Amino acid sequence: MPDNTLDLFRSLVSTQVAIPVAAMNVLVAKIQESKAATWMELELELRNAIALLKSAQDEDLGGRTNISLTSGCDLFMKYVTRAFSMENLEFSACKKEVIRRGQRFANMSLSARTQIAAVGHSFIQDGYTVLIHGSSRVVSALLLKAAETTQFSVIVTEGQPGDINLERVKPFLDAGIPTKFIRDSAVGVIMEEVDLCLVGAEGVAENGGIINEIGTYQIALVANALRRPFYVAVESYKFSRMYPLSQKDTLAMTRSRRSTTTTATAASSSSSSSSSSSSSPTSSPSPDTTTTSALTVDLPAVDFTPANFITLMFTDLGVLTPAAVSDELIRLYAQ
Amino acid sequence: IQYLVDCRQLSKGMGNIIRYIRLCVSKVAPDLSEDQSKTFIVSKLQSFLDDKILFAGESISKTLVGSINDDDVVMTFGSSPLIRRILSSAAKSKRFRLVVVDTRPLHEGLETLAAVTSCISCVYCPLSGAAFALKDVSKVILGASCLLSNGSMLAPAGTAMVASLAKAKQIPVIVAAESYKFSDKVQLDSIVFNELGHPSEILCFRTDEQSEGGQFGPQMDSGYRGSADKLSVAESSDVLIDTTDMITTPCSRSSIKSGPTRAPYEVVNLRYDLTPLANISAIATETGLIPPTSVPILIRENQSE
Repeated sequence: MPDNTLDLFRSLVSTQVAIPVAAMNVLVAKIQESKAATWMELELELRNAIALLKSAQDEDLGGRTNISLTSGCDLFMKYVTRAFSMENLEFSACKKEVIRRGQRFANMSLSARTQIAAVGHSFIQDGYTVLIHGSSRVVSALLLKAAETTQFSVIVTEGQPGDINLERVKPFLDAGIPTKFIRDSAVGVIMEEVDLCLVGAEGVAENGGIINEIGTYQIALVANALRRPFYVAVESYKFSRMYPLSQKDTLAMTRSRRSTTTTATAASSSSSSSSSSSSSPTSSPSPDTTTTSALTVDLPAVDFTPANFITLMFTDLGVLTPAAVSDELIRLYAQ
Repeated sequence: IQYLVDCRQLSKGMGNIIRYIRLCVSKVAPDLSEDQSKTFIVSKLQSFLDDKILFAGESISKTLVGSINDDDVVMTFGSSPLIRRILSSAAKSKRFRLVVVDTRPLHEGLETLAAVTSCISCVYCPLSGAAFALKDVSKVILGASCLLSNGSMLAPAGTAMVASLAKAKQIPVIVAAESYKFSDKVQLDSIVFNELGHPSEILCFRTDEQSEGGQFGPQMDSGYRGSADKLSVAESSDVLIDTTDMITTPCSRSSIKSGPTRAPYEVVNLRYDLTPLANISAIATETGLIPPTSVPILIRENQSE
């Protein structure tokens, strides 16, 4: 059974569907094939499946953190178990209701991208220059929808892992949107030409701040300094109860810091490229070097952008201010 | 209730509790005997105490202990039972230092010090030194008297200053408050609704004169000071006159000693001040950490229960 969960998950992820949506579909499948006879059993099976999914490795997640997976699964559980406490029907009827709710939630999440594009695309007007960062498919969907009716241009940042990524910009080029590539360090320079900034998010914290690919915070700071609107396009299942108070908190919560220590040697064979997970031990110096102190290479994968830098959020629940995130979460979790 | 009001002007939190008591009383079934009714009300009150005050304190403690990291420097202002509880339980599992900021006239910070100095390494500083003490601080934890609907907070005078200093340095400010302190009132500044303490508290510069049987009106503070046992309730005819004995600065002595007429200046001893929404980073309540903008949402949720 455990093997089945992750395999199913992987096969769904490969179909370009969002990771949390894939997870929700896996959970619905799990409920359907479950042979539990009581609610406690079913809930236990679901929780085990969620724990398995949360332990999915980086490769399965396509390079993203597992924040959206965690929040998606938690919200799914909340949404689905709500049904249960209300009805007094016998178990099989309840199970049907749970499956129905689960499928509904999964479908809502799947269609989130289109809904976000529908609410957000009108914010881009003719002649605008839009700065984007990160590789959010929600943002791409929004821009492609806007391109159907508006003439605008896009500036794409370098992002991770660095250098021009033609795969990512291909959809824009195909749609005929003039696209410019800049390095992350040039955001300050380019901001005066920009009319609005648009990013996605991997997770939304309870205070309305977002967790997104490294570099987002910097762009938000620059946009704020030059009074440019900074918009976030994100699905509502990414709302989570995290409350980071600082960047350090965020990195601790997401366990995403990647740093290695290397000794700078004459033959820099041991220089690190962005390698995986936490600090690996210092590589032993080659015999012909003089003693140099170790260089720490710190490559966090995500950063936290506080709510006061975010102008508005485009979500499948509509256009929200960052303060409304907590409203949604309290409503869902307080019942 | 009038007796309580006479002893001490009600804070908003107390107002909420009194409203709850009235609600309980109104809910008593008419066919119960007097004893049964009393038992009913007492049990309701007991469960309120357990739930909303004691248990809430525990879960807030847990939340905040989670927010404090090892090697943090935490700053707090004044004292409250909740803050003392948070700090002592945090000290059991985390390694951090504490800066206690304090102010005249009540010196409530000494209470905090007394409670935790045995397990946490503390620094004590007056409000005038808070800006300097903030240099190393990584987070500020404050207690509140009441949280208003517009996200701002009423707290002992001096709190607003600490919060705005911390905000100027981008240091997170966390407020610990149980949900019974949430009020649907809105207040835009500190003066609109406040409590006046006795002016002698701030005018009296020599502490030995204070303990020599100073006369205090009915609005005496409730015993945070060491000399509480020496306080006596006296008439408050013209309060300002009674303080002439205690004024020691030469200039004031000459101008006030001129008999039973009003002193040339007003002494305003405000007890509370208002910390605006922008200076608060997070509020810790029973349900976890929430942003200050969510106060009215929680009030709505609690009312719909």
